[in-house]
Amino acid sequence: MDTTSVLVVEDEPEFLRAYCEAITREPDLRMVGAVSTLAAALAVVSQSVPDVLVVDLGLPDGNGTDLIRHAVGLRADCDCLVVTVFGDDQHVIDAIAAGATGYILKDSPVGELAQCIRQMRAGGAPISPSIARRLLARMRSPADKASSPEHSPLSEREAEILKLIAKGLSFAEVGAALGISAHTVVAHVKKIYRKLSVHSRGEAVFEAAQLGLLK
Amino acid sequence: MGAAGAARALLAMAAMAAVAVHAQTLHREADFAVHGDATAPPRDAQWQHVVLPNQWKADQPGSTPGWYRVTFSVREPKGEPWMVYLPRLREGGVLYMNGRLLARVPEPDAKTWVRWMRPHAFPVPPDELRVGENTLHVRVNPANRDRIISSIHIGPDEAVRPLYESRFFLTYTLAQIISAVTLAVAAFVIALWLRRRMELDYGLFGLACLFWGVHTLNYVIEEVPEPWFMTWRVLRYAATGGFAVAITLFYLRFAGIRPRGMTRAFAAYWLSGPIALALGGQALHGFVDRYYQGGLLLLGIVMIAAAVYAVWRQRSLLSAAFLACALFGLTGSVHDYLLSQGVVVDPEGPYLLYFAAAALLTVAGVQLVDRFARSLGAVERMNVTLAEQVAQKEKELAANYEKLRAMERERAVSTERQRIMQDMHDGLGSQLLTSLAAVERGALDPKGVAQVLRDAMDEMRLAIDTLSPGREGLLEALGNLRYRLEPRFRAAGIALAFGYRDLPDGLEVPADDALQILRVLQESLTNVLKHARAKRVAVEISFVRDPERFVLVVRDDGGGFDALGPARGRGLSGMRRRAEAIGAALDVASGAQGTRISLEYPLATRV
Repeated sequence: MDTTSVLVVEDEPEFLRAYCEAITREPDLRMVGAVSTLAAALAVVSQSVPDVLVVDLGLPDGNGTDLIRHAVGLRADCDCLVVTVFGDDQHVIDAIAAGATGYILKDSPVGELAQCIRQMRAGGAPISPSIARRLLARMRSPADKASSPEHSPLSEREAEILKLIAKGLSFAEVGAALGISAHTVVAHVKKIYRKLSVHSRGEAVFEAAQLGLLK
Repeated sequence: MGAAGAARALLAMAAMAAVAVHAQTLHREADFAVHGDATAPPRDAQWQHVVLPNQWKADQPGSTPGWYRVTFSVREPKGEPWMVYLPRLREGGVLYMNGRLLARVPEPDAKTWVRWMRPHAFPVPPDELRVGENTLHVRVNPANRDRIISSIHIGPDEAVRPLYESRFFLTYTLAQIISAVTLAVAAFVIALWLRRRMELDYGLFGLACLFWGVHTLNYVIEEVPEPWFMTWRVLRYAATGGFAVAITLFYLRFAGIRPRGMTRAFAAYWLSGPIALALGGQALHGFVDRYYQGGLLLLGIVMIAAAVYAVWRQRSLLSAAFLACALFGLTGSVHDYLLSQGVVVDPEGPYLLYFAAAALLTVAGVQLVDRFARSLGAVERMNVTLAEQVAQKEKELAANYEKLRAMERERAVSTERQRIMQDMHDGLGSQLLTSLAAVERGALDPKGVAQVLRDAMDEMRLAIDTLSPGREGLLEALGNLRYRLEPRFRAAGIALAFGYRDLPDGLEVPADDALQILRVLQESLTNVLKHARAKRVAVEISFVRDPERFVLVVRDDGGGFDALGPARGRGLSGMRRRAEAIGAALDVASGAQGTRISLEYPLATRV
């Protein structure tokens, strides 16, 4: 059977243990490692990038977003799932900008983790209303709007989806409102995440060029 | 009279080129005879030797014309044209060359008043002259006024013409120009004064210009039909007097002397002469001419006094110029007065006031321009000061506003902090305290502890959702709550449905109120999750108009309250308390078919 390789990076032993159990329980998921520091995680990823990274952002020796950027840089289709305590928006957005395609609240039922991983591998991604609104704001900044609507990396459809999600609609409801399936909605969300990551990289390149760091 | 000499020198200078031949062409001596015939008196008539210029007194009796004879010799006929030139032939006359009519200059008669200011010149055809002695006769008619004839120039055209032309320019063309210019300046300054009546100096200067412009027409208008003559004469006196009065008042003000009575007295005097003449007619003319005009000379003395005062007070270049002009003006006026009264006979000499007035008006004009420029400068300086003051005030205002905003911010932060403290105390704090008490009492098993902690987490999440900055509003917070709770309902096998109706894009609700609404919803949903044994639960969120309110309905198909016991009752009273706190209406209906909880939160009265 084609299994999904998973690396868990979590510095709190309780959670590390819970996640490991949750993953090993699933026959379609395969643990390739469980580490609690950024350095160890980077060492594992440098050997081989797993299909899925489950990453806590606040690691004792650094920030999880660095790991995400590194992993996605090595392997573009690596799915990074961010573990967050409160779904604290700015950190999640930063992680998505670094290349993450999903996030999960730390206190979610453990069963959700496997489900979330499967959804990501199937091409979808979770999103909460406040993350949707943040994405909208970020990818359609006033400066972008001023130049031209086409300048926004978001397509009309994607913007529409984000708006509905921000209003509190579920994926199924968004799909119903737009005449598409819930599955398509989450696929769109994942695409949006990727765009933000690319968009952010573009911004970084642009800024670097402005600063004369690149030739 | 030095000034008269200077002015005559001016006239002479203009004719410098002709100076060399002057002596040969100028005739200052003539013979005079009274003779009634239409032709010149014979050689042996009673010729008297006279000196030119000459005045033939009007009081000489008889009605026979007087004849002036000038002889001159021509050495050899060169075939060039000659010219006879009289700088002044005040009352006209008829000229004969060698007995043949040369020219006729109109003389005053019953129909027309005539007084020539311009010079006269007549070309003499070469064949009218003969080698040797030639004779020029000038015939003048007797009348009630003195006849005045100037010296006579006779000579080749090229020698005489320049003398004539320069005099013509100075006595006639220049007068036209001065008249036109002063009238134009008068129109402009008076128009300015009419817009700014308080600036009396402009009015006086404008009037002085106007009067002087009219007065100068005297040099240009030399023939007046008899019916108009009186009017013209009255106007002339009014103009002369008006100029003297206006310019004197102007300079009195310049010197800083402003007695009201004097203005009235001057104005009254000014009007007296013309009115007397208009009413009295010819009978009063001699009187007015002598005493009214003479009286105006006193104004010159007033002006000199004012000028001395101004020089003493101001010690400025302008006041010195004013004094010089005033002296010149009085000298010129006296000179002209004596000329006009026939006390001095100098028909070729200039009228000095002609020049003095120009000087007086120029100095007055310079003074006004100077004052105007100064006042403009003052206005500009004032504007700059004003702009600076405004900028200063703006800066102060901005600083005040900034201070106010900082205070406002501080106040908001402080209020928010207080609110969060209060919330921690009432919400999470009391929840943890009661849970701690229960755990310590041993009343909770691990599962119960987990539940208590989970509730505390939920409470904290709500607080974060509603309190953290940059939130869009209630709908987003509701969405987040739903997003968070959905997995739990999925795990519990309960279908959670959300319905939205007529919702606007954003719903702005005070953070505190949003928190209470979310607590009610969370409480209702966790109750269903924990106790209701329901298969499905539906949340309906809608926006109703008239009056605007937000309506939240939670409906489940569980067992209702009765099946539950006191724990649920406590949750319900908490919900009621929260609803009350934000002025919302809570309605709970529970039965065997399930429970319906609705919350109506009025929007219109908010914000």
